[in-house]
Amino acid sequence: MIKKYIGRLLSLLIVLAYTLPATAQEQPSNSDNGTEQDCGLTLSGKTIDHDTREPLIGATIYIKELDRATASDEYGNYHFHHLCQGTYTLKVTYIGYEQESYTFRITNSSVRDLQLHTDAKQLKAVEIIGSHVKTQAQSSETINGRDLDKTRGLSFSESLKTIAGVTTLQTGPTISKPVIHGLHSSRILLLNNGVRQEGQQWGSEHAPEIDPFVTTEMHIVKGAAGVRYGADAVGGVVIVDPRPLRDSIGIGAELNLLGSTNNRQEGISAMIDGNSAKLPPLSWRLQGTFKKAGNAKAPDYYLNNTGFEERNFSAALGYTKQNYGAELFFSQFHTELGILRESHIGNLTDLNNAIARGRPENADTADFTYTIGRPYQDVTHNLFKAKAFANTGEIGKLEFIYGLQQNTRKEFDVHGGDTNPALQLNLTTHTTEAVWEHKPIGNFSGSVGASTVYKHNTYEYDDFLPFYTSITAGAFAAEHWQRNKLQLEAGLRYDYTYLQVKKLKNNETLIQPEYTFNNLSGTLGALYDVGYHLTFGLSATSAWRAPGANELFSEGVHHSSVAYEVGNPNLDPEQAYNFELSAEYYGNQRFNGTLSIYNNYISNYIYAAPLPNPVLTLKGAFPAYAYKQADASFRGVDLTFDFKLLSQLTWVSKSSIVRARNLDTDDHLVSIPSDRFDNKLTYEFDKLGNHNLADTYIGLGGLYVAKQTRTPEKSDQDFAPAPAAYFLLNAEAGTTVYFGKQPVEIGITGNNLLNTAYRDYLNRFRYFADEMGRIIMFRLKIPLNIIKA
Amino acid sequence: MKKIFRQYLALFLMGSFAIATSACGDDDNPNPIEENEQITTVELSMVPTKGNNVTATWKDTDGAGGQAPTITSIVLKPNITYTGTVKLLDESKTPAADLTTEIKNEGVDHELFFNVTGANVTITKTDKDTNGRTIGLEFTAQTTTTGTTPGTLQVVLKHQPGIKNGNQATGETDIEVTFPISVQL
Repeated sequence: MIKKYIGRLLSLLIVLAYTLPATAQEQPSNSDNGTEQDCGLTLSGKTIDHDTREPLIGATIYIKELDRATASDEYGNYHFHHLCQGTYTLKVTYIGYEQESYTFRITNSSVRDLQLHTDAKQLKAVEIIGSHVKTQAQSSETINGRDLDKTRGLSFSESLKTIAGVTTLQTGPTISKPVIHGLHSSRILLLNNGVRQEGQQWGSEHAPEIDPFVTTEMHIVKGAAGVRYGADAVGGVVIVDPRPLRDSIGIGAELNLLGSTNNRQEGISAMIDGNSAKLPPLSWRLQGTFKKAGNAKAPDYYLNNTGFEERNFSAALGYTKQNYGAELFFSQFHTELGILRESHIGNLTDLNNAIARGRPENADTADFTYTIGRPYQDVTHNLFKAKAFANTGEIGKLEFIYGLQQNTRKEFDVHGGDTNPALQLNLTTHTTEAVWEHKPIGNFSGSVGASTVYKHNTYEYDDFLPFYTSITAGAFAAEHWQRNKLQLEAGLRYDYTYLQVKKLKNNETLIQPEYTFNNLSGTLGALYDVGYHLTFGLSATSAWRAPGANELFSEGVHHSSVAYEVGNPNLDPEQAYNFELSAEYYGNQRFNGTLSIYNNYISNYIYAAPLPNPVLTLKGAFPAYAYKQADASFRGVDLTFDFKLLSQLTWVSKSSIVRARNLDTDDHLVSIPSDRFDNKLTYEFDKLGNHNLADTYIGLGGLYVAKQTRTPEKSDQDFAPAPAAYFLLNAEAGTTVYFGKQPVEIGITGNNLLNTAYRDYLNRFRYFADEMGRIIMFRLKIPLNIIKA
Repeated sequence: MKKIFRQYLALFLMGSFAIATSACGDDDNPNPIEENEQITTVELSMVPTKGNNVTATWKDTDGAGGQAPTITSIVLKPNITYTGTVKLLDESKTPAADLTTEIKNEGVDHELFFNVTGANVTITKTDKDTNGRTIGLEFTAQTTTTGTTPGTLQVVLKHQPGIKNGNQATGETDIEVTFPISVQL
């Protein structure tokens, strides 16, 4: 059945891929005095070594006028299709050769060979510059540059939403966490600055403690990816890399200013970095962010107590020589997050009353304020990282990373006039990782590594989660093989986890159960470059996750989910097997896109299953859940493409569909994202107004989120039906203004412009209130060069 | 080539072992949680115009889960007026703490609601907060004829800070307990 579909989809894609460029009518871009334009010309030829006449494989050929690039194939052949008549400059680069420029005037389809001369200087230091050629079969995407700039002001998780297949699990407007292919929380691994982020990820209302301003690039791996990144990467991995340390002498800075309507967010993020002339290997960077916002406003009322205040800073110091280097990094993230007052309820009757009411109880009296009252969360996350690397001469590169994290989470309840939180969790984590990347041997390249994670968790004021200590050690090896158009990869990882739990049973007797888990993860992948800009990828990856201390030992009323939760001390680890087929159409001038189809099969998937009888308490009856295991499958399709309708007008489209089932009970799983379709038209302007404005764009887009009709049918796992489908109209504009030589980047983004009242299935506050209404965000980015080299 | 690598690996393993062992040094155990004041017991005392006093308790000293709560049935005589009081206790502490006064003092933010089904009992709240709204810690219970099957008395305490409006659907529930109740000769 599935095979048939995949087959059909693929043949459709191939047909599309071949017909689109053929039907696309190129606008004349390089006019040639009145002659009739012919835009179906092909420029092709061979890249060869001037002396030996050997073909050069993988040389980069770049047409300056069109901003198009290609790489020569296994025979040294290159080709550009759909060129108009005109004069073009081709820049040819190849490692170990001098860069050459050729200028051709094209009136007919032509063949031109490009000859390169060896560069004696470059032969020694071979450098691999980031290439756009795909090397992994598994789907992954990167947000950087202007796409990342557009998300400035949003929370870390919200900024990831621009990727197909990624959405968020929310607790009101302030708390959100990433959901990849329907999986979230402890099934998503966050790699912050090369260190596994260890907070209290298990909680659905515990947002990741990462300042997005630290980074200039976020990378997402979709699906299980246990081999390279370790246990827990069942649903995917989010990799956040800080901006690289400055490598040229001088001092630079960047200032970001933010503001918005609605919750009246104001923010400032500043960064200063330098590299001293006296000691060139030494670089440093300081960075800080302050953001605060008040009550958010739904179209018809303010959401009482939904402000936040965030203060973050980081410092980095690096010493880099050609063959060795070291880096120290420290960051602190601190946030206070207000939680909608009316979402704090006493029991199930209150929840049903709230659902029946349809709006928060004091919606009419709630007003704007920056003051954060109870309930709120106060979270601090410290990260210290030390990294060292050595190019071990003949054999490759060795890298060692040590990370220390301290996570303190305080949750303040509505009750208790005193200053103590209702719950405090302290988690200390030490991580080490050593990776050795060997130099390519023949067609093989790869790495081996080992890592350890030590975690220690304690609590104060409430024992919902027990004390625990866990030690995980793992080792992996991954190899990549490439020959001509085919790339193959394989990897294997072994992890061992020891977990000791300390719990006071009935608040009296200490019990100390111990667990050991060990498991293998593997990866197999194949990438085939069909040519004509089309690549096919096929991957089978796996990952596993040990049951969390909350799943084993939580006991009590979990107020955020209005449920009585019972842990299950006999849980086994869950293991994910992810199969993915993808087709990527890339490097084309009009149409680029990726289609991926996946099936993530999870055996022993841990979930909270409803118990037949509610638990009777003095506050009334609570529905009871116990952790259970079942086999589950997460299947879906992600489609991303951009299509140039006119030379300056681009249609960007992202769609994602997930289907998740509990295979044991043969039922849908709860809280799975519904189908999402995000479409946008962007118009890029040429230089405007005396050439003082550059990179000017406007965009208009719409997001359609369907109603989730696939909710559990065989047991009650939700308190209200899934909310209706919704459509949001969004717009954006931006430009770079030059004051003399000083650029200032300005951006405006408007979300929910029609002020639509809607609720999202993956927002826990959908029982209580509408989502945020219209919001217009303003941002300013000023890069500064304080001292030049 | 292998030799060089082995050196680095040894260094790494030693390093991580040192970190792991130094970190394992903390040998702390959890301390018992000092529970905040919580209501464990709802006690209804009813004094009739003639006959015996009636006392009923709904008690769950170990909180949610664990031991099931103990509940006493209420048996009232027909055609009698009872003068009732509600007592709210924290019996998880020794000696038990009486939280009734606290609720009374915060009367403007609290109200008790009594819902009787299947028994001929009418409950009327008799105490008032400083705004003149009923609280419900004091009440009268008027019975009429006897019933054949026992009914239920639901007692609900609502926390309604700034929004007290005499409506049971308003605010957050602090207590929601149900007693079996019957009117018998």
